[in-house]
Amino acid sequence: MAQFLEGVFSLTYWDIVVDIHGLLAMLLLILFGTALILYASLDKFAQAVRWLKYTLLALTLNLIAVNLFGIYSYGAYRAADGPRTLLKSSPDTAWLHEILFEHKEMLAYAPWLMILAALVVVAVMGDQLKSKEARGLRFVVFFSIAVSLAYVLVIAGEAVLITKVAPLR
Amino acid sequence: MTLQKIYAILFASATSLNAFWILNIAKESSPAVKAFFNFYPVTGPLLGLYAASLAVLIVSFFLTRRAGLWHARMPRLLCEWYFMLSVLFFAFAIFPPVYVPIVAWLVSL
Repeated sequence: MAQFLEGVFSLTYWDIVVDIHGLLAMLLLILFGTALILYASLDKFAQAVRWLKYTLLALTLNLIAVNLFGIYSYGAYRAADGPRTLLKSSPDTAWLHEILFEHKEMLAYAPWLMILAALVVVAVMGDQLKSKEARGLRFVVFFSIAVSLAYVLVIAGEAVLITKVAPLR
Repeated sequence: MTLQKIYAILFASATSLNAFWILNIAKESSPAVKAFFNFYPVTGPLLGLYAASLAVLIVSFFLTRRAGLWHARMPRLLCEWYFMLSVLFFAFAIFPPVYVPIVAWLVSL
């Protein structure tokens, strides 16, 4: 126990910030799973649309929080003695910054926006989303959830490759 | 009004994503644009790029939320496709092996 407490209290400020960033990113997976199940259940029970709306709201807020933590820790990543400098110092690791990190930092702009759009569709349409006329918009909601999840998984994969070589401390 | 709001957010989201990759290419091609976005040097021009794209989202949403064209079926269908294609295109347009050669070509002009 003493060893555990010693370890926890020796964590740096940036260890904690990036841990929260990762924790929020893990939470996204639960919310994406819930949103996909609720989407598939739209015709199955009466409250499905309402629950999907709340799930998409939680997902939007979670994605915005992940982005804010990401942008905040990006400052430390770019610092003169930060991970970016370490990655760019070797031709073997430079691609991790110049291709993967550059892509990850910009791709993160899309998921929250797509889920926000899906949230507006679900919130405004309500139970009308179940109607035959709303098939197109219903597909837009599914597309937004599925592609947003795919982008989050790409971003997470890129993050793992980068932090394995140059963690932020 | 309800449908107008839906199609305005789809249009604004897609336009914001397109503005993002276009502004990114502008930032990489022009030192002046890069300097303009670099208003907070700790995070660099990325924050400026996010802020500008967010501004495009807000402006285009408020400009189109009362547009009459969303009453017709064809503009609504086109808007749905514009949104989905922009989302897919975005992931490639911001991939460095795709945009770096475009930047190099623009700089050489």
